[in-house]
Amino acid sequence: MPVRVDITLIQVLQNKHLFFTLMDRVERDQKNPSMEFTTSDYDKLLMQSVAGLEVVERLKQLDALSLDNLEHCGLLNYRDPQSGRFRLKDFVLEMLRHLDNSRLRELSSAELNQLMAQLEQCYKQVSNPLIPWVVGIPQFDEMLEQVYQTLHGVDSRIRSAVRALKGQAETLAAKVDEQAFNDLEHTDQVREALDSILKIHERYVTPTLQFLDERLDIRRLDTELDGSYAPMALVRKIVERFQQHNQTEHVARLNRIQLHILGNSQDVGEIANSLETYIKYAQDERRRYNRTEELFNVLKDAVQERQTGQLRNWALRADDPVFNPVRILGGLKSYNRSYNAKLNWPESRGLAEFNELLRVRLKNETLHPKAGRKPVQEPPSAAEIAKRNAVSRIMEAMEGFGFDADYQDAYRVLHEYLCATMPGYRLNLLLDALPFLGAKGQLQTHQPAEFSEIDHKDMRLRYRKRVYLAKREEQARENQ
Amino acid sequence: MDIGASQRIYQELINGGVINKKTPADGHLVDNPLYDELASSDNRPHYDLLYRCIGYELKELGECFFLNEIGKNEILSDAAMKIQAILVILVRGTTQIPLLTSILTEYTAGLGKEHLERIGENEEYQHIMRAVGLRNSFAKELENVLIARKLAHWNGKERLVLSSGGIALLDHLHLQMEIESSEASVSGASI
Repeated sequence: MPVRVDITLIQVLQNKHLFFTLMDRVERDQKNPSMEFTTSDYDKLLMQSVAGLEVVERLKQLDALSLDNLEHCGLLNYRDPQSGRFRLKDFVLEMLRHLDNSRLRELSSAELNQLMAQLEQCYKQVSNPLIPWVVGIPQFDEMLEQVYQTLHGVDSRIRSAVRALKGQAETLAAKVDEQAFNDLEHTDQVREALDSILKIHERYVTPTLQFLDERLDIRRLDTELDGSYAPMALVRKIVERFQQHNQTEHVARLNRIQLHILGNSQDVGEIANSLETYIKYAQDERRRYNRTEELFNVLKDAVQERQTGQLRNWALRADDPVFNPVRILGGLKSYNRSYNAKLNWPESRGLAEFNELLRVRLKNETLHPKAGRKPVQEPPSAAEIAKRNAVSRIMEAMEGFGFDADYQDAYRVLHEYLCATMPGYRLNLLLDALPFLGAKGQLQTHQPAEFSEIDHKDMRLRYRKRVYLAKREEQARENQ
Repeated sequence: MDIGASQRIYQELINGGVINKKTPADGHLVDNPLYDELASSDNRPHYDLLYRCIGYELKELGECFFLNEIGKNEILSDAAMKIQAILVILVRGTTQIPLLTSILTEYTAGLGKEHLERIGENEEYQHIMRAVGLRNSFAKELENVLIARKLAHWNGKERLVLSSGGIALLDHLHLQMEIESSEASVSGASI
């Protein structure tokens, strides 16, 4: 049964949570800004909403809130039975949003540009020489209506956006406060809130402040806003047109509207200030994250680099450039309890106590000579002798190596050279020969990283390519 | 100068520890009398001289003091290397859990033992720790490297947080990294 429009609207307002749930689903789950609801969702929520009511009341609400009735009352933009979707009219959605600050919509740069375009259109009209400025003439009356409508529209949209920003900022700030200073474990929520704060500040607060800044026209700063004039400067020009035509009554009214619009800038400024702490917090967090990643990556690369190709000396040393950032600690001592004072110096008669301590210690030293004296050194083992011999043979072989040239794949060049010149050469000796290159020139990792393999007799070496740079070049570069 | 405080300061500093501005007491952070003793404008020159006479430089970083041996500015100790490595692993591990880094800097928050275990299980981190000579478990090395030196401590809820010195050092590492990155980009631009 059809229900009257006013009663239906009251029912809509009384069941606002039903519509809020639908709006949340569309916004968060489907990421859909169209505000198009599905009929099945709506029916399901409606049945849940009236479930606990008395029969009469339930039927009353079902009648009023049925889609048929909403359509009958003209509250729907459209209802598509094919796709099972419908959309409430904009004024109903706006009305619902006004019941909850956090649901109001901010003005993006694009929307601010739309308002700007309306102002420009309005200015064009008041500057049109063909329109006579005589009350009662339809063209003038239409122009007047257009001017008031545009300025009131701008004021209303900005006012609503300011409320939206305030609501959003308060909700997000509360979320960060609640989590960040008590328990940070629900970090995702906090991070999301911080990201939203950064977005709000960048996308909404700053452009709105720019929109409301009438000095922008003089300063000619670059903003995200289109147009050759600052929006509020344009409003001033519109009012000036009325002054030029001695429309004093309208000038007074338009000045009031202009002041109302400008009044919003104070609120937006306060929002910007209130967000400042959180923006700094979010920026600090982001900076800390980025820098830690950089520190970690260079450390990881340094470790990996030492462990590829070279099988020995894989441990990082304190003089590695990767530890430059901590250089301020310099020669900070290794924590060692032996540095703790072992003597409790007495307040008085210290010398007698010290002599007594020395007497006991010295006596102990003489009576119990320290055990574990080093035994007579054993002769070197056969393996040790073989190794020493190998090093001598490498040294001998390396005398004829071309240290003055640069090599793109130092490992392979050295391997081929030793194969040719060193009798009894085996692949494991290559690693013993590498330090000779390091002494005469510079070994650097190949950029970009490339890996290669050497197979020799029954051994295989997989290594990261290194470039050999002869010393003379390095010196010449330094001289330059 | 307070002789008792001076002796305690010496014990802390000579063992490679730091003196923080704030110290935990009964689950709260309170002013550290040793820091106040060192930071006092009346005492500071005397302490500077005292340590210079025995071959050390009293250094201040953020809100903490520590010692460096004079004449060894160019040499970085293994202890310093280990501090950087474990601090970077701790913060990186925290961000990968994922948690905000503020959990390590807010005294009331802190990283729980279960989180530390999780970080310690990461093979990549274990690899790096071994490369810098940290051979014990992550939790044990945190105790040895950061907590023993007062660069971190446990809060009232038995969670790990960085001390003022730890935070200052972390900020310093980040700043140095920022400088290195900007220098690299500047030299890249000039080429």
